[in-house]
Amino acid sequence: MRGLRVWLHRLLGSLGRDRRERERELDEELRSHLEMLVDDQLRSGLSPAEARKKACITLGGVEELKEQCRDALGLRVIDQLGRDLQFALRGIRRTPLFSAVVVLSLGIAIGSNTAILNLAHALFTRPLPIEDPGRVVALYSTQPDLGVGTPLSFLNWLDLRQQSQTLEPVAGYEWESLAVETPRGTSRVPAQLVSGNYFQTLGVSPARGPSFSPAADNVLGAPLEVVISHHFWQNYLEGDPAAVGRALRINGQPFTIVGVTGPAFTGLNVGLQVELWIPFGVYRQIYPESAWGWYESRRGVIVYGIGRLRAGAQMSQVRAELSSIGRRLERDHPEFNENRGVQALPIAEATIFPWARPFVRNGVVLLAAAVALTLLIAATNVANLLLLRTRERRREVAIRLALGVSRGGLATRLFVECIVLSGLGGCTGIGFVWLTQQALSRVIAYIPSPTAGPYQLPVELDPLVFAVAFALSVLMGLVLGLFPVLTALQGDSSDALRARSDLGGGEARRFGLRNVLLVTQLALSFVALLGGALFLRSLSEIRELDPGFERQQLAFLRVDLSTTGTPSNARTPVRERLVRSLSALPGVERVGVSPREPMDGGWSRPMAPSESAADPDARISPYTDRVDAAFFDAMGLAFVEGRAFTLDELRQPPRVAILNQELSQRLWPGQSALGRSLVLFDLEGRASLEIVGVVESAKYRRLTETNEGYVYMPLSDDYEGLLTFAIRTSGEPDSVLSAAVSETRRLEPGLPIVSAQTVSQVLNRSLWGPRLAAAFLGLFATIALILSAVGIYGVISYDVTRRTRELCIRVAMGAERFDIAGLVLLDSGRHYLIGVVAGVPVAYAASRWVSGLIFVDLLDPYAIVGSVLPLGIVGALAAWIPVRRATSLDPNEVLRTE
Amino acid sequence: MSKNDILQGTLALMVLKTLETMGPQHGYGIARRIEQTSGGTLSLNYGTLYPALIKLFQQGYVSAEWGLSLNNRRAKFYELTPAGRKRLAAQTQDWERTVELLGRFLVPGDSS
Repeated sequence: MRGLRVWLHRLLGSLGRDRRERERELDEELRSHLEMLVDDQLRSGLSPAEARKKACITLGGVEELKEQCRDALGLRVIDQLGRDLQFALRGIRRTPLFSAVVVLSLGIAIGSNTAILNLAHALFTRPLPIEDPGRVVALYSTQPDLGVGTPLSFLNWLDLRQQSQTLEPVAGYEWESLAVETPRGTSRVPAQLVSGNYFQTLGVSPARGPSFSPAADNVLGAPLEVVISHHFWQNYLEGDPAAVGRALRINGQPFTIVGVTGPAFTGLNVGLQVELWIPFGVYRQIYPESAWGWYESRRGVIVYGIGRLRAGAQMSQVRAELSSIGRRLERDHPEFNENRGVQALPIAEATIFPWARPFVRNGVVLLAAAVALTLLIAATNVANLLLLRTRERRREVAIRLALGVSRGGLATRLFVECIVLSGLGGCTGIGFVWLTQQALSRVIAYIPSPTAGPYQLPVELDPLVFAVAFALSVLMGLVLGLFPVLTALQGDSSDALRARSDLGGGEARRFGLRNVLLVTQLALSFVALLGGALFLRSLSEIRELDPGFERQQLAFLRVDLSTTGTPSNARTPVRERLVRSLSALPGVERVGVSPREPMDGGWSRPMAPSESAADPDARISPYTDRVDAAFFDAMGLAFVEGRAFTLDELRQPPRVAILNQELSQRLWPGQSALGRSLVLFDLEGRASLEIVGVVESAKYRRLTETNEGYVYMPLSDDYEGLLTFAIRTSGEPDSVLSAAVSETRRLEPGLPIVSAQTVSQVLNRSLWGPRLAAAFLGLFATIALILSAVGIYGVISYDVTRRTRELCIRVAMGAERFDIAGLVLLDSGRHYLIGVVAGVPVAYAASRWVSGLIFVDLLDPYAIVGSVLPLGIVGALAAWIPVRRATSLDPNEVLRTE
Repeated sequence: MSKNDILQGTLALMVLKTLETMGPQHGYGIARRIEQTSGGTLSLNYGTLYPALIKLFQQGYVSAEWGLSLNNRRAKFYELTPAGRKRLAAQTQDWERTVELLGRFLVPGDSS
C-alpha cells in the first residue's frame, strides 16, 4: 500500500504545474536551510561574508543536492520516459522496413479484432437508448410447437395489459410494411403499429413534436397520428423543419405527423430501422378487411409486448404473475390458448429476435475466431521479428550494460519501444476498423430482413470498444516486449562482446523459441487458409446446385397489394390487369403469379393422404405455395403428369392441388397421383384437395435443401397481399425487368414495388450466408498468408545473415550456388512441413465445429490443395529473397571483413 | 564507523524519533538535533536527509507545512502523523531486537 502511495506521489510530482510548484518549494526549503546555517554562524561571531561562505561549504553542492531531491520527488520519471521514447522513435526510423512490418501486422490484427468486437458489442451488449433498460421486459407467448420468441395474440396482450400488477405500463408493437406517399413517390417502408403508450413505456420522447395524443391508446378508432423516425425525416422529407403537423398519406389514409424521434432511437431491434410508428387503433382504416382478423381473435400471434417493472417489483414476481395470467387465459379461452403461456425476457435479450439469436451468435463467434487467429499469427510474427532484432542488438545491449546502464533501465527502454510499436499498430488498426466496418455493412445488407427495410449494421464505433482496443495494443506491447527483454538481459554480456558472429551449428539450440514461433505461425496460417478455402469451395459448390427451375431468362417483380387499401375482392382485377400488360411487353414470354418468391422462406401445412387421414402417423407437412395457371410455364417446371389449374379453379377457394414429383413418389411410389386427394388440416377445419397434376421437383426455400415435398394450390383472393410476378423472358431479363417496373408504375401509381430482381440476383442473394462466411474467412486467410510470408522472410533472412561466414566458407571450399540455395531452402521447407503437420490436429478440432456451416466434405481435396499450395509458394517466395542474397555472397569480401 | 556513514535505513528512524521528541521541526532543526544527539560523531549529508524527508512524506509518515522559525524565517515544518508514530514504535522494537541479538553475538567469550 505504501509503495503504491509513493509511486502515485512520484507520478503526480513529475507532471506539469505540480512539477513547477514542487521545484519552487524545494528551492525555498533549501534556501531557508542555508539562511538558518548562516544565522547560526553569525551567532558564533563570524562576519556576514565569512558566515555565508562557511554555510555554503557545510551545505555542499546545492545542485547535486537538488538533483537527489528531485529523484526522490519523482521529477525525473517523465524526463527518463521522454528519453526512452526518443530512443524508441530513433530505433523505428533506423529500421523502417522492420517497423512497417510490425506496425502493419499489429494494425491489421488489432483493427479487425476491434471491428468484430464492436459488432459483437452492438449486437449483444450495448444498452438500448431507452430509460433504465434494466427494468424493461419483452413479453412473448410460450407454446411447445411455436418455438421461442413467439409474439402474443392481440386479445391476449390486451388482457395481459389490464391484469398485470407488476408491470406498469405495458405496451406493444407489431411489425408491418406500410405504403407511404412522399415527394419521392410511393414507398414501402418498415413500420410498427404500437400502443399509444409505447414511447412513454420506454421513456423515449421524440426530438420534435408532442408524440401521440392520449386518444392514440384507444384500441379502436384511434386518431390518424404518426411518429416518424429521424432517418425517415432526413431521407424522405429532406429534414423539413415544419415536419410536425404535416400530413402524410399512409396506406391511402391521411395521417398527421405528431413526432420525430431522435437519431439514436431506431426501434427495439438492433440493425432494423423502424421508419413509422402508428397507433394499433387505426387498423380498421389501414387494412383491408381480411387482415382485421388478427386484431379480433386470439388465434394469430402478432403483438410483441413490452412492460416496465413497477417500482419495487422484482423479476421473479413478474414471472410468477405472468404464469398465473397465462393459466387464466388458457382456462378462459381454451380454444386458442391451449398450452399457450406468457413469458418475460429482459429487453436486452430481445433486441435480436430470440429465434435468430443463436444463429447470429454463431456467426459472430465464427468471425471472432477468425480474427483472433489473425491476432495470434500477427503476435507470433511480431514476437519473432522482435526477437530477431534483439539478437542483432546483442552487442549494442552488451556495450550499454558494460557502460553502466542498469538492467532495469534497459528493460524499460526495450519495453517502451515495444509499446510504441504496438501503439502505432493500434493507430493503424483504427484505419483498418473502418475498412472492416465498410465491408461488414456491405455484406450485412444482403441478409434478408423480416421487414421492408434492409439490415443496417450499427457502424458507429463505441468509445468502450476503442478503450478495449487501446488496452489490447498496450497489452500486446508488454507481452511481446517480454521476449526480447528476457533474451537481451540473459547471458553474459562479455560473451556477446567477444563473439562477432556465430559460426552456425553451435548456436542452433538457442533459437528454439524462434523456431517454435515460426512453426506455430505456419500452423495457424494453415488452419486459417484451410478454413477460408473450405468456405470458398462450399460457396462455389452451392452455386453449382441446380435449383430445378429456369435460372437465366426469368425475373421477379414483387408488389404489395395490402398497402393500397384495395379490398380483397377487388384485388383480382388489379392482378389480372397487371398480368395482361406485363405479358404484352416486348421480350416477355409468360407471366406467372404467386404470393412468394423462390428462396424466400415458406409455409408448411399439415396434410395427409385422404385414404389414411385418420392415421396421425400418416401426417405430412409439405411446404405449400399458391400459384396461377401460367406459373409452371414461367418458372420452367414441366408437368410429369396431369394439367395446370383451370380459370374456374383459380377463382374458388382451393379444392385442387398440384404436387411436385418428390412428394408424389414418396406418397404413392410407382403409381400415378392423379385422381387421388390430400386432406388439408387447416385451422378452420379440413379441406380436401384433389390432385390434378404432378410437376418436376425444384428447390423452394434454399439451394441447399434436399428432397422437399411441395404442394401447389390455386391462387385465390385470400392471400395476404404480397404478390410476385414471375416473368419469363425470351432474352436477357434485365431490360425487360426495368420495362416491367415502369409499366407497373404507370398502371398503378399508388402500388408500392417491393423488389424487382432477375433470377440470378434472387439466387445470389439467397446465398448471403455462405457468401458472407466465404468473403470474411477468405479475407482473413489472405491476411494470414501475408503475415506468414513476412514471418518466413524474417526468419530465413536472419538465418542467412547469421550463417554468412559458414556459407562463405562453404563457397570457398567449392560448394555450388545451387547447394547453398538448397541448404537454406531446406531449412524453410522443414519449418513449412512441421507447421502444416502441426496444423492438422488444430484444423481437425476446428472443422468439427464448422461442419454444419459448410457444404463440402471436410477433406475436400481442392480445399486442401488450395490451402497447402499457396502457403508453400508464398513461403518459398519469401525465402527466395534471402536465399538470393546468400548465393550472391562474395566469399573473399565477406571473410576479409569478418 | 567513519564520521559520515550512517547505517542504511537508520536515518529515517532517527528523523522519526527526533520529530517525536521535539515536535514539529524544519529540516535544518532535524539535522542539528541529530548531530547534537550523536555527540558530534555524526555529520549529516544533506543529500540524504532531504530525500529521506521527501520519502517519509510520500509514505505518509510525516506531514509538512510552511511556518515561521524562531528567528522569523519561513521554513517547512515536518510533523509526525499517527502512521508515522506507529511506524516509529515498530521500528524501534525491531531495532532493539537487532541490537540485543548482535550484542549476544558480539560479546567476547560468549560464543558456544
